[in-house]
Amino acid sequence: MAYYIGVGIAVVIIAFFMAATQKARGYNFWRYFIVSIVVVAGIYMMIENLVLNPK
Amino acid sequence: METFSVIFQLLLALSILVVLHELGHFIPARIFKIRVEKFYLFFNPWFSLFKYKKGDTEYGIGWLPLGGFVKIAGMIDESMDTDQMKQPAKPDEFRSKPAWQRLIVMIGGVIVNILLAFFLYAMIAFVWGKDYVKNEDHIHGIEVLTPTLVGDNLFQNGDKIISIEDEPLSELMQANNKMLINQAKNYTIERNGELVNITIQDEGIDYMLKKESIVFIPRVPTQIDSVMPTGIAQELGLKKGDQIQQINGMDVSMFDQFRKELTTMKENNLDSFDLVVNRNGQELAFSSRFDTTYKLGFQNVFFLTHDFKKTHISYSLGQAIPEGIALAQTTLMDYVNQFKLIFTKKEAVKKVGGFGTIARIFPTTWDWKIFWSRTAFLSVVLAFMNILPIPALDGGHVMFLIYEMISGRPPSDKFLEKAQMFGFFILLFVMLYANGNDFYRWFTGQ
Repeated sequence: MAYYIGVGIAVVIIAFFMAATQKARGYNFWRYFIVSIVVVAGIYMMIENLVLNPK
Repeated sequence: METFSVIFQLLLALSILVVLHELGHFIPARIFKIRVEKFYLFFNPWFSLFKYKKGDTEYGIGWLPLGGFVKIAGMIDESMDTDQMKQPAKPDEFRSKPAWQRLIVMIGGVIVNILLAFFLYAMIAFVWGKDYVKNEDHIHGIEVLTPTLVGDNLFQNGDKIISIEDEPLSELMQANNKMLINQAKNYTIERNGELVNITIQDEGIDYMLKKESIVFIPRVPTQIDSVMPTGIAQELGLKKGDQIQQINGMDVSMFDQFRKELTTMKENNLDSFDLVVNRNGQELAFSSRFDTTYKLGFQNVFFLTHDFKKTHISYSLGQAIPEGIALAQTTLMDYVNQFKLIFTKKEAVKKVGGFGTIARIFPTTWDWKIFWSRTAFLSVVLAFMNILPIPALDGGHVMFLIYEMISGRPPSDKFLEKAQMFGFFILLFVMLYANGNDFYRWFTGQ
């Protein structure tokens, strides 16, 4: 459980900084933040499947 | 303090490279009268550390050190400013300009990085010259660290590598690069005064990738560099500079022989030993008993600190420029070959690194020569990575511009937006994977 809380926090932090780079260009922070959370979480799940649980 | 020094060097080098790279886009954009809305070092969400506006452009320094950017009006970039793209094109916008002008703007960043690498390598050659040990001055030959490459038909300690793929070897350590990066298979070596040809497969490459080690190092004599405060060497009165010639009658004048002999003695549970030591040309004999560690308690000379004959080359400004260009070209080709390994060697994928790996190329103490040399290297890397034909990178824009120049019509804005989004995800994946690898290595202590 603690592991996934850690992953969740890491995903939010990464998404925050990514969205912040877009905010710097003058675009909507929240739109990019939400999309980034989805994308980063998706990539994490993909990596977890590919690397941590190889078939 | 050491970590701070490395982070400072990394930030300084990346700042120089980012500013100059963005300047490479900015200058041609202004020459072609394209409006540039922002020019920033680091990103500035919510607030900037510093900013000022001159003409149409806001210049500034942000607080988020993940790169920098120029915001060029009327360009579909990784910011995906679709609102602006819905408006009719204005004459001072990127999209209103002919394709050749847009192409120059897009490749400007990469060209500056390449020119910067030429300049830095040339200046390093001009100011400091080149210090190295010639291959022939490694008088004891090589020590082979890869067990699978040692054998009668393979390499042996003490061999001298004369040429690789029929090309004479000028510096011994380049042999590792040639094996890993150029995947060289054919070696000519000198063994006991005779030339021998050796052909290998992928043993060396696999070893280097798996063990993160090199294959060849210069062979060094068994020569004491320092004596530990406690231990057998200290008790016997051995001194710095002493050369151990024999142990129990076996020749151990080379350090690899000495290590091997100690291992054998440990395996055979020998409890005592006799040493023959050369001190300033005089032969001395010592006897003692092993302790449980089977270590004598001294530090041997290391190949980097051993007093091999060094060669210095000085360059005039006229000589330094072609030398700098040649070095940048070699660095680029080596990097491209290394990059190819990611697609051909499974182990190489695990070695991809992010900011942590980049930081580790800087030393913990400040050295101007090393700092500029690493900055030049990163400039080459930045140029190559940016010109890859991935949407969202400069190379992606160039790819679509070349398509437009050939076909006579640009890809639709919708297609470009989707391509940008796709490229953005690729970059995100690579970034997460590379930095995740760093984190994993740091976490597991690898």
